[in-house]
Amino acid sequence: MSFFEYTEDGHVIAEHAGRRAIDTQVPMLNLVPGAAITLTGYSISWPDLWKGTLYYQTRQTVETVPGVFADYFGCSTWAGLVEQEWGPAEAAPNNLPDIAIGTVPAGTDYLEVWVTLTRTVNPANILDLALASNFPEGLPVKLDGHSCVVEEFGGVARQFEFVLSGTSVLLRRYQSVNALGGIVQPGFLRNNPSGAAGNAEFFYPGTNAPVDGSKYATHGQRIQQLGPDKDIPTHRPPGKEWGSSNNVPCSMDMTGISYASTWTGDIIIKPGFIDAP
Amino acid sequence: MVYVFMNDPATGRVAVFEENGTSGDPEDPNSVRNAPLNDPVTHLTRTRFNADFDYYQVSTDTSGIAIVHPATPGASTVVATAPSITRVGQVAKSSINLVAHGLPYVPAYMVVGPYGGLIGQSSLIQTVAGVGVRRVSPYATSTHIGLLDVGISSASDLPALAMTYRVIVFKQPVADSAYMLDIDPDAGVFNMGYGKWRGDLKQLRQSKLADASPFDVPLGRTSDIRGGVSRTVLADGTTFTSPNYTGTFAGSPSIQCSVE
Repeated sequence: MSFFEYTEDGHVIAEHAGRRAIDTQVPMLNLVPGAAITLTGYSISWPDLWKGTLYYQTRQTVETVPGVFADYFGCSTWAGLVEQEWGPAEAAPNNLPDIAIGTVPAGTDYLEVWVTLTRTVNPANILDLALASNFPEGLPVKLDGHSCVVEEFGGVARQFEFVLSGTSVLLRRYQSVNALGGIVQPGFLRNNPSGAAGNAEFFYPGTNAPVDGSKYATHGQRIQQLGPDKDIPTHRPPGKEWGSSNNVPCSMDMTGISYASTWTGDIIIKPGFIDAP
Repeated sequence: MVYVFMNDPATGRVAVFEENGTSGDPEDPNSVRNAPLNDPVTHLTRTRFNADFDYYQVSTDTSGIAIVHPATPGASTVVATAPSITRVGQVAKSSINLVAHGLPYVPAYMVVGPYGGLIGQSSLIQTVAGVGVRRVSPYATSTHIGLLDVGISSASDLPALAMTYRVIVFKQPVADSAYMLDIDPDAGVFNMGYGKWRGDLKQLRQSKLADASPFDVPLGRTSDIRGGVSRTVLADGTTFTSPNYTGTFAGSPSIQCSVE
């Protein structure tokens, strides 16, 4: 049995097989396929992170035979990420402005968002591990909640989201690095002390990544490791040689080490109306 | 406020809408008061049904899907020896099939968690201070609705986690009828929009009539990052916060829905 009924207060009810299939007091989700925003091969990108260089020098004294000691010297260098927050509300140079990707009809109060993305620019490693992705790469995802923490590991995180602002749909991005030094304990304080004979740690500043001994740096990708080499006390940072004029320091060249990240794929956003309060 | 049911054979549209004022002939599908019938996009907020639009009509609604998310073993890995640098923790990913949808296309879906709200993309569902976190991300394939499970441990194991999910799969609307409006009580048929909308199927709608098993649908973001980590606030308000999160995210508006 199916019938339509007009109620005294002006509503329409359609019953079918004993249930209310339509009741204008109870809005269904209306999706407007003709107003969908379709982006094909679209890239969502984040820039490189602010980073300096971590420099470790080591000296290990080993008793090679009873009563005979030898010193072994080594070094290792790492990209060192400093604490930072990026997003649309952050001041330059950490501002990531919203990106307008399309418009939807007036009155839209719901977005059905489908994304199919693959990471096409991989950020550099965190302690030899890829910056973990949380996105099912290459698979269709209905983005309930409109947001996605697309990468997160070791105190480094990235998020994108779609925002309905009036009749505009905005792509919003964030990226963040913590101030706690990531997942190495004890953390690496951003000191740059004078040269020394023994074990020492130095932080070499980068762009927007100053020396600051009250704060930590997060270990990123390894740049180089040398040694341990016996009786060759040369693995000291430039300008801080000790015991030799023929210094062979670990490289601090970060050419090619970038934490920029890009995810590319298809995005379909279908506007809707459910008469949200 | 008066709602009307109307169709226009000239355009093939059938609609249920709130009248756009009182101007014009009530029986003229092109009068001002009936403008939502043939111009539903402009009059979106007055529309309750229009054959031009799509509706979430239920193909399957499966509750009680019990999943045990696997433990992520702890790890301490020496990554350098001069000096010795030890990385604690590891990342373990697994793909979990929640339900086989049985449809010949990738359907729309909703995954409802045990707390009564939708599970949004990359939602935290487990945070253990000093140990690790777990997040899940729903997805669809040509055969299944699934979850990507990402567990991150520390030197200690992130324990396994038992969860129960509900998955609602929605039918893709297809105009497969010759009739703009087809009401045949004897045959139990009630279709509109050339079959795109079927009266015998449950559909997603606001939950206002003491419906069974309502759930909360987010209308904005469910996650935030700050301090290099994240917080999830599900649509029902359930909150998971990674240790050392430094933000203030308190969630987005949501709406309670049901499929009836």
